[in-house]
This record gives sequence, structure tokens and C-alpha cells, in this order.
Amino acid sequence: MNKLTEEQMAALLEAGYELRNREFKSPFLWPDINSRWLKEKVARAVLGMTNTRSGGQIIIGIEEGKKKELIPSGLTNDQLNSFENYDGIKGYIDGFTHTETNFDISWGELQNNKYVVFTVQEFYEIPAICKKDGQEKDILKKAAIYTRSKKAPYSTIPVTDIELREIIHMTVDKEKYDLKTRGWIRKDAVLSEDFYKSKVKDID
Amino acid sequence: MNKDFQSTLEIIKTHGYWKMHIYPNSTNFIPIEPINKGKEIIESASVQFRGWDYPHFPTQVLDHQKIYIAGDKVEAWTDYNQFKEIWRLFNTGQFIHLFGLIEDWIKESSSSQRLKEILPGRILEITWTIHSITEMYAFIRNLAQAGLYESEIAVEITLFGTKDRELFNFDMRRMPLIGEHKAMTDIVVFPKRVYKIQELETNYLDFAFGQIVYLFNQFNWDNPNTEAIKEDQKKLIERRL
Repeated sequence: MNKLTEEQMAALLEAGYELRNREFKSPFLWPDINSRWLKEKVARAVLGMTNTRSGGQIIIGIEEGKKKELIPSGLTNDQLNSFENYDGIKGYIDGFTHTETNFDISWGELQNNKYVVFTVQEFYEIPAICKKDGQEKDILKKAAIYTRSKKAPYSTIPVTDIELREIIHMTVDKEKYDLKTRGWIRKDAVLSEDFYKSKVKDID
Repeated sequence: MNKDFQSTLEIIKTHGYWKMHIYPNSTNFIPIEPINKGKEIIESASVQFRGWDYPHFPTQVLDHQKIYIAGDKVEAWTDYNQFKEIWRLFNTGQFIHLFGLIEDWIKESSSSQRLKEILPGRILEITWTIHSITEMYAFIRNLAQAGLYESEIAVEITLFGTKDRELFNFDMRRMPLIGEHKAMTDIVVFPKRVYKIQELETNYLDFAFGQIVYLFNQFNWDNPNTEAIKEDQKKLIERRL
């Protein structure tokens, strides 16, 4: 695993709360059978981040307190080392989708606490669709499309109409859909560089 | 004093600032109808590689930021700590963004002693500059892919407040620059570029790279390390900062 600098780690945790492109998860030991619930949550988060514009990061090592406050407890060395098996983790997560996800796993340290960071890239051509139910109840559902909610508080959710519209836009853009064939181009407007410059004269 | 678009614009212009202007390079345009769809277009096209998004999209109306419809355009302003910016998207797809140089404002908001020592108007940080121009082009690429433009767009970038400003390197892992690398003009006007929409999809990093080298040349840095610049761009878009 690549190690992030302390400055990079500080920048990731700077906001102090989850963002659309940043999600926090509690520390756990990846291969532990009792961690299956958290593994599925991470898999869902990766699928969700894949379907979010510009992708994002999932940071493991942050617990949620009784009052929903975030506790940056970090991972133990054993927990940290359990994320070394990239191929195993990638295989596990990709087992939930027909299309391959694209992510790196790195780790960093801040104020003596260690964290694992999944950096997930936006989908390449086709959004990630969950292909099977998870073993835990109500985490991963077959045929669901997960994403990060567009409005705060941000969380990974099955798409609503709002996010689905965005995903459709993203997919269409990626397919380089020819707008001309859809008749969206108005042919009667003729504008020049001078026209555009005159529109911003007051701030230029 | 209550902040607004005009007051933010005036504040931006008191220090060094960037201007990025995009408009369709054709006699036709694809109207954004209704214009409030423009908000969704910018929110989707904005990029967030290093915490703060480019351009900043105010998801909430607060004392320090606002977004609204104004006639044939969507307009937004933000005046928050070191982040000072305004932008407009017209129904023609024309977009203009002015934003203050972080180098000139960070002194007031940073908790880092090192950053507090930066005096406005003195430096242009190399990595931040690479990041800013790359973010501009990642955003331009996204905007171009949103179906707003028929075939080509024109891009004009200007950096204001450059005279006697010196290139500076905050990254301790980099070799320090040898010699003086200062701009001799008040303004650096980048050459106007016209891009085909399809080209932007695949070549936006190269286009940004060309502009970065142009700017560093204007600061009398004749031979910047091109591999290092490309690596910085790659790290940014992959969020390996």
C-alpha cells in the first residue's frame, strides 16, 4: 500500500465531516468473519463512489459515536495490515458488479492514528450495478444502483430520481451522444466573439 | 458590510486573480432552457480533486456564498476565507470565472505559520498553479461533454497582478528553483485557444500542460521539468496529493 504524507492525510480529514466525494467507515479487520457487515458497507461505498461524478475517497478508521459524532480512532496495526491484500479486496468488491471498479488502496497517519484510504475513480463507460444480494441484510441488493446523495447530509444510497438523472447524463456524455441527431441545435442564433465579450463587460 | 456578487468582485480585484472565459466558437448555440438547468450543469461539471471544488458550487445559500438566476444567466459568488470567486453561466453556454489567487489570501485564514508568512502579491506557488490550470481544463472538459456546444469552444485565460511576482515552491520534496523567476508584466494573457469538443475529452491534460508551460515561461522559467508537471497533473486528477 502506498503511504500518504501527513499533510495529505490532514487534507482528507480537514472538513471534519463526510462530503459527497468523501465517506468515512469504522476500523475493522478485513478477513474477520465478524466484519462481514463492514466489508459489505465498504463494497457498497465503492460502488456508490464509482457512480458519483469524479469518484472520491473512502476513509477507514473513523467511528461514529452515540451522538453521531465522528471519532478518529484509527486502525490497529493488524487491522491496517489486513488491507494489504489488494487483489483479494478488489476481487471481493468486483464480485458485486458486472463492470470492473477502479480504485487504489493507500494508508496514512495523522496524530499517531492510522487510516486506510480507498481512492475510487468514476466509472469508465457503464455505471456499476449491483449484481447480487449481500449476505448481510439490507446492505447490498441485487439490481440496485448505488451512489452518493447529491444533497447533504451525504451518504451512499440507492439512486433516487435526482441522482439517476446525473448518472444518465454522465453515461450519455461518455458515449459521446451526437446532439445534432436529436435536433437540439437552434440554427437561428448567430453570435460573435464581440457579443460574448459585451456580455461580461461589467466584470471584465 | 453584506457580501454580494459586486463586493466579492471588487475584493477579488484588490489582489492577484485568475480569469477563465469560455464561449462557443460557432455561429450556433444550444440554448440552456430553462436557465435554471444551468445550475445542474455547473454542479455536475465542477471538479473536486483537493477538497475545494472548481469552480465552487454553492450548494447552500449562506452569508458567504450565493447562487441564483439573473435573467439569461446563472450567477454565483463566494467570499469564504482564502476562497474568493464569482462565476456566470449564460444560456448560450458562455461561462466566465474570476477567482482570487490563494497565495494572496491564505495569510488571513491559514493556521499554518509558514503560510501566514506569505505576503500578497509576492509569489506564485508552482504546484498550486499546476493544480489550478489542470482543474480549469478538467472542468472545461466536463462542461464540453454536457452537450452545450455544437463543435468548438474558445478558451481565454488571464492572470492578473503578476508584475514582480516570483515563482515559489512550497513542496519541500522538490528541488528549490535556482535563480530569479519573476514576471515582468502586470497581466499574463494566455493565448486564446479553440478546442474541438471531442479533442477535449481525451487531450484536456495536454492542453492544460501547454498553458502551464506558457505561464512558467512568462515567469522566466525557460525549462520547467515537463515530466514533473505531468506527474503533478496525474496525481491531482487521481487524488494522490
